[in-house]
Amino acid sequence: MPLKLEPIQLAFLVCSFFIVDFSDAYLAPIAARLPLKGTPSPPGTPWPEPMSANFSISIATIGNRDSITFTSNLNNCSILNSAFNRYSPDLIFRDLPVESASGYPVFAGIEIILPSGIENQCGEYPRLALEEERDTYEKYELRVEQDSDSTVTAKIQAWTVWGALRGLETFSQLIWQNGTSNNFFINISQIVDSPRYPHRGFMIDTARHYVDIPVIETILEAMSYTKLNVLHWHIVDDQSFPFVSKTFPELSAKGAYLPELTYEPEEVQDIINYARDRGIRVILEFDTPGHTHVYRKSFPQLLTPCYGDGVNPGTPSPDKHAAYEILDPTKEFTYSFMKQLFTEIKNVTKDEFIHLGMDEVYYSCWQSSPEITAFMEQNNYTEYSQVQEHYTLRHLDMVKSLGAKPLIWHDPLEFGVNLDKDIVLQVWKKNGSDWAPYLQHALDEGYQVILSSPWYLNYIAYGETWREYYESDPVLSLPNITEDQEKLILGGEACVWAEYADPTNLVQRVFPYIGAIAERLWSPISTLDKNRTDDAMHRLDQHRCRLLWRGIPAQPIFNGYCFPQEKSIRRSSKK
Amino acid sequence: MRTGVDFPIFYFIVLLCMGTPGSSHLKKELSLEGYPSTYLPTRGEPWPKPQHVTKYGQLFMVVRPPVFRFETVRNTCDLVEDALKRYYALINRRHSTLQRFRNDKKNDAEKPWKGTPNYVGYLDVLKIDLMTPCEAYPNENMDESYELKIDTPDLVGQGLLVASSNWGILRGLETFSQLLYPTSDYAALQLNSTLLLDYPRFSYRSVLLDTSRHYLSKQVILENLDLMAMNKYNVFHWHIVDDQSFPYQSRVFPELSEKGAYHQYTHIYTQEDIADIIEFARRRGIRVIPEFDTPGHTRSWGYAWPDFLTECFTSRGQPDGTFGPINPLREDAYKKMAQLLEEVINVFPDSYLHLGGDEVDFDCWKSNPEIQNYMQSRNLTDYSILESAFMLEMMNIVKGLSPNTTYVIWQEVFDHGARAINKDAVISVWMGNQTEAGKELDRVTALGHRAILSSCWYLDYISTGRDWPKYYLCDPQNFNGTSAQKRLVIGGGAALWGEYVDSTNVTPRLWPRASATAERLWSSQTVNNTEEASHRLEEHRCRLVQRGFNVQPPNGPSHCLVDWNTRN
Repeated sequence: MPLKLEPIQLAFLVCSFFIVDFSDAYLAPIAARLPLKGTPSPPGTPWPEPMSANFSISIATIGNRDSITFTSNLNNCSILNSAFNRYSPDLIFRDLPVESASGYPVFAGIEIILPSGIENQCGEYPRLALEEERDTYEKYELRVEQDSDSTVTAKIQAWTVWGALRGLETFSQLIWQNGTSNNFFINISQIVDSPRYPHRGFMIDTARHYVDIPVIETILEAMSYTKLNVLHWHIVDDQSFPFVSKTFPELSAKGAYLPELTYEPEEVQDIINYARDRGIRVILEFDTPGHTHVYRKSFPQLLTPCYGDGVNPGTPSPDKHAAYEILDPTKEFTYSFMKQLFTEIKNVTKDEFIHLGMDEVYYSCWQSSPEITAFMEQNNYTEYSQVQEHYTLRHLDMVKSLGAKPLIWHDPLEFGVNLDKDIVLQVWKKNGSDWAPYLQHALDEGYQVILSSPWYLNYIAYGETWREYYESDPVLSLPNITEDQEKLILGGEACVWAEYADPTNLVQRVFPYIGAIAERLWSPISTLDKNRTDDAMHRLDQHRCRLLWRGIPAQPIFNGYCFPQEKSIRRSSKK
Repeated sequence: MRTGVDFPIFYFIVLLCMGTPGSSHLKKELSLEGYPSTYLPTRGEPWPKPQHVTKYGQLFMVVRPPVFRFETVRNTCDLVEDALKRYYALINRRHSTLQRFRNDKKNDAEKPWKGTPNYVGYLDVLKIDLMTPCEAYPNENMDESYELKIDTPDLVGQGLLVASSNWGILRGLETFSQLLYPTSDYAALQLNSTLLLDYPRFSYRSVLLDTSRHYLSKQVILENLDLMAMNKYNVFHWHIVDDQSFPYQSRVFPELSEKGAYHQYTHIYTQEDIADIIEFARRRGIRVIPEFDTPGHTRSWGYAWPDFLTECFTSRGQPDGTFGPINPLREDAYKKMAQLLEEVINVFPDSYLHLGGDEVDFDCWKSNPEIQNYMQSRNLTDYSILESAFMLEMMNIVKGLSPNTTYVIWQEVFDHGARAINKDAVISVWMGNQTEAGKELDRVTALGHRAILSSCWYLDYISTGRDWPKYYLCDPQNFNGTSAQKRLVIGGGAALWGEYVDSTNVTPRLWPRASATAERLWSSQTVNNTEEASHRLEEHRCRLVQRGFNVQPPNGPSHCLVDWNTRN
């Protein structure tokens, strides 16, 4: 029956890599005359692609469900121990029995080797790797080796606990099931891996729609399976203020959608720790001076009254501005309030960075305001960008004085605000589909940057939209980038603005598409050969099936199916 | 589905809709006065909007679960009793989830609403008056009309639901459940004094799910049948097999799913699964119409039956290893189809059967020497004749097997051989924009065919933002034709093709976008104000969320009183 040979199966047959049956992820073409492109990957292929990997055709069998044993020279390390618990038989094998396949060496456990003297990391939080430590911060070497005729062991050498976590994730992805049998295998292999960029993030927005904590945890879990390491938490915005401040409890009391749709300080702490256990930083964003309408509900004096009718403060002007907009930069109260609020935030966050927003400051309200006019005259300002600069610089200095590092959207740079060079800029703008000039501009001005422009996952469309994310490269898209400028790129972030996303659809919308971005930010630049996007499709599909296997409701990227047990996987992130 | 041609146009539209996506974090959608604007949900307004509603000032009654009950007068049956249990449980659950918001704790007499002049009293009983004995299966002539009276002048302080058929009772119960909203103290549910006379504008209101591109678990199909009933849909168009997989487990040809399903044990619908799905749908007044698409979209059949399909050849006359539509020259194909269709007609109780007939790839037929010879020997050049001949034979088979079966076919069958098709065939219009679809509806109905429309309701095509108004404003009778022609448009439906949809995302992708189509098909043609509808849709979305379904937000930033909470 010639028809039975799907391209994917054909490719497996010609690939003499494995000597047994295959299963993992099955894509199906749209039509016979439109066959799938690209080369399917064998089961047990990791995502994102490691820096370098050698897979032997020799394989070892997993003896039973308890064969995945962990040892380490770093004892009593809570981060490692919780990782060992996470990579449990249930995660790897679900509820399947595991039977040893005869005639193969048996897998006999995994050993984590870390340098001595890093015990203190076990109680710390991950951070942005310093330039001089980037080569080792998340690096690992994973060797699956035959010790004797009968046993195979895995060794992970890492330089930090975070590198060990990345190595464990890769290790877990190497184990594959033989068809629908109860035989699981791992290939003899050597992997040396380290990320291309130290900042690989995902931004969630909990202000447009509230996202409850189990969903945030699901996202963090799935991020760790995809080697993403920053959760950028856009926690408040115009629409709601779910963060419960101890200093100003009125903010959430009046600004949350509902009293129960909030994040208590302990809950924020729990999320930060949940992320830490997975080697993920949590960067909180408190956006000012725009996107602050919600403050009006509890502290109306913080916002600039607009003169929409030309006479009365607090009046809107259709198509131009609301009745009140943008923090009032003329009042000392604004600055003292923010200092108190950010003093609290500095204590809540465990990351050295705080995201200060600074995006979308539009001038039409200020232009209507006689108070702003007077303020400009007083300060000899002739441009509204100087008013923005006034607020921006004071706010940045204040936050720096608290000991935090500011991260902001790149808008002030685009508006001509003079910023210190130690401010990290997140580039989000694009003009049509053209974003490279914005990134180049920030680099030309000498700033360290995080790129998001091509990776707004809230823009949805029919089809294989992940391909465009995958082929957007921060370096290759910039024809005039210099070597020094390349070093200023810290990484990137996928963003989902939540106007149309909430727990009903968020996880599905993000996973596995965000994997395309994760690989762009993790894997060597050489993976970006456009011919390889078709190959990547097969690996990404395998990754989506892996996520599904682990209970993450990752949506399909094309026709096909994953594995027999797919049917019993929960469709939602309900636990 | 629907490959190739639509993509460039579609992307173009997406680009238009997105404007300059980089210019904003979507902030522009906020209005100025109520900044930041959200569409505030209505309270106790049903979706789809009933045909005739009379309210009596601000008068309202209060339902206090679990005291509240239904009481049948005249006829009842298991189907009605089952529905009453369902709605009783639903109302009680609604009440209990609201208890955590309760701020009264006061005794009964001090309830804040009790002292208000508009409070009429407790509605402890809704009388259910079914005028005729029950019909067992929903059908094309089902009567879904009902009358619902809550504290009307002729029935002060009482509630009554009257319908001439059990299907009307089902629709009326759904509406009744939607009239309820929390009292100000969340101690109970209230509803306005209302006279409501309701019936559907179109008799055929369908949702298409595609279980071939991706398998959908039975549980997920049942969940969506529930949602269909809550939106007053009455047809589940089950596109059960296609090129990619054949999950239907046939009694006569078990090899079709054994070899053609994605997985022969897990990714199939057994006869028991199908019976469960039909029964679940029946209890909700939903017809299940299966589609066995031929002669194209049949690649998965070839795993079991390689000779069934046309072998495609290269330009040099060598087999290229791929297979096209069913080979229409093989006698055996017709025998097999007759056997399979006989089974299908027996398995699915509905009188409608969808025979497909779309997107037949003529290139493969053209490349095949056997078919070339056949065409040459008869001096034929138009390969669509083969398609027409095949489909006519399918229709003959069906008529021969079951004279009462109505077949539904995609529009190409009509386009390629209009005159030969029996007048009682229902034509499914899926191609083109609204203007083109309108022209097709004109052509189809001018020849006396009944028509259903889905062109403007391809919900697998997604875009950013509030996309439901475009579905809402597509009217199936908006074409140039006589009123007799327009009466031949019996409805239509939303289609969610499965290339990028499986159990992980089907529910939020379909709902509440398909709710827009549901209202278009049920409510009066004059119900077409998207601003008014936005507020009701906001309530409806939260209503469905509160009932436990992950229905996504339609209008932008929002929250529900009872949000879809993964901890629930």
